Amino acid sequence: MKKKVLAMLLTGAMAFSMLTGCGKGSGGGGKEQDLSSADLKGEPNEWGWVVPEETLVLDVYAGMGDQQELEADEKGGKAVMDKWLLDNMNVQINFQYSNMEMDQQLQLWLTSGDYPAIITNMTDDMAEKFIAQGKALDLTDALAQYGDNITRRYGKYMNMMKSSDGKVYKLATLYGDNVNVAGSDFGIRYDYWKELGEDKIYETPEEYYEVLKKVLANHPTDDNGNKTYGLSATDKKGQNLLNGMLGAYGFIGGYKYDEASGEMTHWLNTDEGLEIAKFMNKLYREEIIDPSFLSTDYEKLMTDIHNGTIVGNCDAWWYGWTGGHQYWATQDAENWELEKRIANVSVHAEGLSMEDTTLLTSRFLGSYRCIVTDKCKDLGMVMRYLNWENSELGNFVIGWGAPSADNVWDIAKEDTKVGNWVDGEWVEDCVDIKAGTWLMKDVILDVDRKEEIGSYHDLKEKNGAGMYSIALNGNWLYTNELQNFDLIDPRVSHVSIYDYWPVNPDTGEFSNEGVKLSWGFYTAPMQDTSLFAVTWDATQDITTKNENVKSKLEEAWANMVTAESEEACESIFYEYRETCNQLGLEEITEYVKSQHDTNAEKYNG
Amino acid sequence: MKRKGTKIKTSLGSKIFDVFNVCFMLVFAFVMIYPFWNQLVISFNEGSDTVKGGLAFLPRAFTVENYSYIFTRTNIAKGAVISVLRAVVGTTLTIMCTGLLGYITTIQHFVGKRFVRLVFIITMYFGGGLIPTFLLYSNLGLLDTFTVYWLPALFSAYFMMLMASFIQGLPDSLAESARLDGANELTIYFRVILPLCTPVMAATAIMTAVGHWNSWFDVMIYNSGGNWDTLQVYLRKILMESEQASKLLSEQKQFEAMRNLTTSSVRAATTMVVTIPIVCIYPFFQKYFVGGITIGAVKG
Amino acid sequence: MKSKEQKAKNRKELIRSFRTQRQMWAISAVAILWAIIFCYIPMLGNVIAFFDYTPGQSLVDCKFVGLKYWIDFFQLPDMGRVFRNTLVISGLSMTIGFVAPIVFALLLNEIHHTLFKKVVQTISYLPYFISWVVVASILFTLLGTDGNINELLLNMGVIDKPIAFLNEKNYFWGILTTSNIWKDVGWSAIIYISAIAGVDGTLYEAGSVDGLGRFGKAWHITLPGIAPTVIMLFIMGIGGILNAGFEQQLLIGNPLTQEVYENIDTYVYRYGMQLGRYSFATSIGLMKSIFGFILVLISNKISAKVTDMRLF
Repeated sequence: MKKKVLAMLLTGAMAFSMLTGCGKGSGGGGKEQDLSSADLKGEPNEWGWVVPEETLVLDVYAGMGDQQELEADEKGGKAVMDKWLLDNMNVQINFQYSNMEMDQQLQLWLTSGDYPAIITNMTDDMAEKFIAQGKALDLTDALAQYGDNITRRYGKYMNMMKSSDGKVYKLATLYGDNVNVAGSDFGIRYDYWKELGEDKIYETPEEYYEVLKKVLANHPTDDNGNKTYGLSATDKKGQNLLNGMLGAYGFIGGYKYDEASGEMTHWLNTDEGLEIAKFMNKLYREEIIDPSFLSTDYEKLMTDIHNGTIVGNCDAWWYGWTGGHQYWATQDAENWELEKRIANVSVHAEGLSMEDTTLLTSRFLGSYRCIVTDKCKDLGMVMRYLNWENSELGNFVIGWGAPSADNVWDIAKEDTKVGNWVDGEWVEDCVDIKAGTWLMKDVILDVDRKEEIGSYHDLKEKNGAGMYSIALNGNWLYTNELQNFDLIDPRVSHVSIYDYWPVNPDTGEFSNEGVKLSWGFYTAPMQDTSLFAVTWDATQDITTKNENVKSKLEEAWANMVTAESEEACESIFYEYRETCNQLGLEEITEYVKSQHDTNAEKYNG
Repeated sequence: MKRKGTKIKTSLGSKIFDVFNVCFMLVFAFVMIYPFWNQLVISFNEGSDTVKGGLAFLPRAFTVENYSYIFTRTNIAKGAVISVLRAVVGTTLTIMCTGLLGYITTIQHFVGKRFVRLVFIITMYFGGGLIPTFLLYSNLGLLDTFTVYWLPALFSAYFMMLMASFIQGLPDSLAESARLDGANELTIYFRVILPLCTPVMAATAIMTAVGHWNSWFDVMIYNSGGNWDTLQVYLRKILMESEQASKLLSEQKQFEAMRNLTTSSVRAATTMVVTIPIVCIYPFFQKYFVGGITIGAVKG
Repeated sequence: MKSKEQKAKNRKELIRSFRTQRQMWAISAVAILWAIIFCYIPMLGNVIAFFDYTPGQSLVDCKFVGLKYWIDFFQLPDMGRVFRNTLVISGLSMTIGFVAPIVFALLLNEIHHTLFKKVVQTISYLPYFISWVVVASILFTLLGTDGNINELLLNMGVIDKPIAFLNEKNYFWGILTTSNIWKDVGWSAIIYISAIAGVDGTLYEAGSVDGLGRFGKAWHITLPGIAPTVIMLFIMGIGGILNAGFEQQLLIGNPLTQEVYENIDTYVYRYGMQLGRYSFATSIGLMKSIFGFILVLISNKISAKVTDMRLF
């Protein structure tokens, strides 16, 4: 009986703690933060950092799992970087690892209150959840006092980070322009295209279709004697085919934006949409699209590209690379020739120019956010550190690993001369280097061999590259009005924290022949779509509506593409137009437009 | 397994049936084993060759590289120890405790037996949901412990039903006479009932053990720190890699993640390492499936 | 009046039992305490089904919305199709999927070669250990337009053009049910195999004496012998009528077959869990549980009347 009483008591206690949320930390977001501890006296050292007397400890969750922890330990980069940070900065960064999916982990931590002081790599939606519950600190004052690098490098985009009360609660991580040379792609096997003897690469979807048809006629079967196709898909939904076409037609996020009137129209409600559907339907009916495209996975696509079953690519550019020449060059080197690759090509719709396309888009603020939570004891110092991370040198050290003779880069001690590739030949001592230059190792300048000899990514990993990024810039590292990267080795360009591409300084072309073939036909310009970012708050009905319509649209698209005839495709198009509008597509369009207008308003201050 | 004293009549219909039945079983066995065999073949094939596709019955480029890869590159050996520990501890405790509960609910004169049964049957249909359960374990200090594997699985309504109906099939007099001798219920359960229950114990043990071995969700959620990772979690993580990568919002990150995907050969090798040990225990339990398990609905 | 007396008597007996049956009550109390802590307390969390709850918020601050989520759910434009698919998919698995392991166990019982029997039995449960992710990719290669099945059908001249099976609405339920049975039949049969082993051997002897043939014995002795098991599992299973599953649907399905696979579970997964709408997911889960439990109660009653066998 006693046990029963005890049980009853326990029940009551549990229910009560549920009811009161049982969060260990609540509030705090509104509290005044004491930033005085970050008011360090002293001169910055060679890294531009005033070393604090007490070790600065940062607890960070960046959505990493324990496999990443294991790899970081194993490759040795973590130890190198730990030591570097402690020796040079007196900073210690402790990452928290979790097996769970990041969103789920964050939801549960929100409930139990066990989250760490800094959370990064989170979605905007999750960041907003923390902010809404007052669990993210107001960064405005700290930014004003210690965040000069951050504010400088965000430029006008900082305004977009502000919430409606004009305060900043979140930062972006991996922000900056899109560091891709190509985006959505209408790729083709370059060697097959060359056989056709055409003097000019195709420029419209219709021309692409003609080329695919000819290539398939020349190569009806693959290496194993199976039938070949032009295009397939990986995400099982065939959305890649739609997105490519929408890019060629200049749609942004599925919407046509009329700059003059500020009006937005969803593709399903435009005539171009029907044109796009009919085009892909034609490709499907003529068996240019793999009939199994809706039930393939990434691996199957890669296999199909290796074997030559799929000869084109209508997706992000890198599918063609990973499935194509990167595989052949490493796994089948004897049979591989430079021209056997899938070239990335951009196309524009009939009547438009390449300038009008939205194949290659860039959102300055990226998709990931970083917040400092109410578990943080010393916001001032945290902001100081994040600011250092966003300095040019900090950016490079965190992105490329600690500078040393063992890493792919080091800081030149004195003026010197180094060699470079000139027209495919290595020439010694032809480039002048000043002391202080961020000098690259010679061996990584040979792009073709940089992976093969295991030097580039391997060496970077061994030196802790990218392992400690918290609110890092992911932009191209070149000099403009917001940043200054004059110190980077003059022999490379297109440098980001991910990679770099050697370029001939005179012609501006890629110095590597293969890269030239892959990207030479990609002429679509980068479009800044930062203002078109839409936040979907999961607690709002509009979000559910949007998800509903989204899944309906996927169904619609799949049915249009696989329609038996053009007439059927057209009637399906109109049928789904009606259904989706009934489900609230117009309301969603309104919402997207209002989000854009708010963004624009914020951006312009 | 032959039935004692049953004469097999060899009528024509019976013969035709036998032929058909054996053929059916052969086809059936092939269909059942082939995908497993195929995974085994893939696991012994070189990863870069596997992606060419078309592997059927034998490896094209034989290698044991995939196995040495998973043993050197991951903590899988530690995972194996924890998996075994979990299966052994969890299974033993579950069948002991659930068996006792099952026994109690079969004692004819126990007034509360239907009430107790109902209390547990309700738990089969109404669950707590993720967040309340997480909160509970967090408050009880069960997160990141080994305890979270066996304590919440101590009793199972489903197995309680199975055991209860088996025990009910045993003669009442055994327990009754022990009770008259003054033995307490625990003694009766351990001394009299349990020794008679090997068949049902074997059946529930194999199902519980497989359940413990296969579960990954609770490992990920309640031991997210990775200190008590089981084998199954490694497999799960590798299998979900590409789905996770496709969810990444940054194209650059996605590109890197996809480029570093584990090869399907390593995945197949992991599948083998994770499943073969548990698959092998079946034949050991099989021999107890003889001689009268009367599981079924409880009478009265 | 009589029942009142009866009740009073029962209560007396109950109170008396705490003394006379204290050992049983003590053991039960431990088990019930466990159930309260690990099952019933989390069950209280289901109250978020009636609130607009976001993780981290205290319930006091959450808006009470009552049955809003149920009403929302039933007002969905696709509700008809979601319910149809749920009932069809779980209906198929409760009929064909339920009978298959029984048939398999009976057929296996007719194999007389002990080793062969044991080997087949072990093999039959292998697919249970292969993850759905792997099964899905096997299905892609098997059923794709360049897959083995199409190759076979083309060679046999049954079709003259490959069929994209996984794109066809008409085949989807069949593929789903078949793959489900393939994966689970051996595993589910374990219980029937042991139940068959438990049938009293003397009954077969008596059957032989009565002149029963082989099929007669299977029909009149084996089947009735395992009937209690079958009924128990069926009653327990009927509570899951609204659980049609989501993992395999989402892995095998695509937008073309969405019309036939979208069911309550996939819906809750996509619009509840994935969006972090826990209140919505909980409320639909609760609805399913209540409905399932009522079905269990009813079928338990019916079974008690008709067959004299009951769960509790």
